[in-house]
Amino acid sequence: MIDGGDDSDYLSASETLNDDNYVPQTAAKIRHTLSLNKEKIAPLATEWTFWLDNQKSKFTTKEDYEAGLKKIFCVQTVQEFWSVFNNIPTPSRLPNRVSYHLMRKNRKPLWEDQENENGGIFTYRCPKDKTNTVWQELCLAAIGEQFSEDDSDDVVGISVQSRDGMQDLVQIWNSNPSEEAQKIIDEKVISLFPNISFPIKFYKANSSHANFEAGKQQKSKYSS
Amino acid sequence: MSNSEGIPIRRLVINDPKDMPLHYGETPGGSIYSTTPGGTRIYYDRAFLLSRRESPMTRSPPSKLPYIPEVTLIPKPTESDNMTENDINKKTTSDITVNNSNVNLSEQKSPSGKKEGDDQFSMDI
Repeated sequence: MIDGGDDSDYLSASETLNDDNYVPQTAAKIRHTLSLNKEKIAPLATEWTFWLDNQKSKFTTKEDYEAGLKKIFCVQTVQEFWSVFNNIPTPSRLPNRVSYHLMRKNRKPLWEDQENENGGIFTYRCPKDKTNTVWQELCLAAIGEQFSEDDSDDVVGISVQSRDGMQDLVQIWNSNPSEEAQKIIDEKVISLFPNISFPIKFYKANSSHANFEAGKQQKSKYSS
Repeated sequence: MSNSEGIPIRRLVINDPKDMPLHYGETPGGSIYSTTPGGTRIYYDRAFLLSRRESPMTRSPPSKLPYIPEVTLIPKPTESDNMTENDINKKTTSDITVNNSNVNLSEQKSPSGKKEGDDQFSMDI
């Protein structure tokens, strides 16, 4: 699978609908096209995956929630990022309670994902007329690794959810619920949006949610 | 295998000494290109990222973008591959009309052209 990155056109003929095929082939294609246009591809520090989350109700089990998740695309380069970002509707055009998530690598936007269960989420209520701007800027800061002051992968996701009413939700996922890590995120947000006031903001560890469904095997691993 | 590629440049605007990256000493000029685990990484500033927004590849979606009726602005898989942007928008609009009477993603269809079309989503889904 990994060796499929060569510019071999015959791959497409025998290709199956296997996620693992998508990225190498697309990346190879983009590289080829860019070489024609004399633009350098700009690789990202890590892959990032766009998800769509069509959450039907507020109180939902992990299974229901997972069923509403759709992977949109995994991007490896700056050009691929824009190629997806430019071709999906802006968050302000999403129906109530529908979200986009941009998650680092292949983690799912789930509290219970093994890579998220020890982390948390900084939530901001965002004035509706600022949602598109805030989503774009947070995505850029994330893929540009502008949150990563210490070479860590602490920020692992950006989410936006369209909501009825005056404000939408914007969220920043991280892997470290320490107060110091929370402070770094909030300071970055304030510096990115000096003129936007977020009426509500709070941080919550993923495992502290009432309906967090911890994996049984993980629990027993630590309890014995 | 392919053409040589440029080394990504780490660009940072330093307004304050605390903005200095921890590893600047290892990479004079600030260019970093490495896959060292836990080591140096690739940073891009906003200006660089925005400069790539309109590059030729980014105007059309990736060829493997899945078809999601309300979301990915691409024609249905069975339809022609090479459509112009306008065709895609038209096609998408008509798909939405057919597939999705509940969800109105098209600004043109907004009844009174409300700002950002936000109020139209106040139905309960």
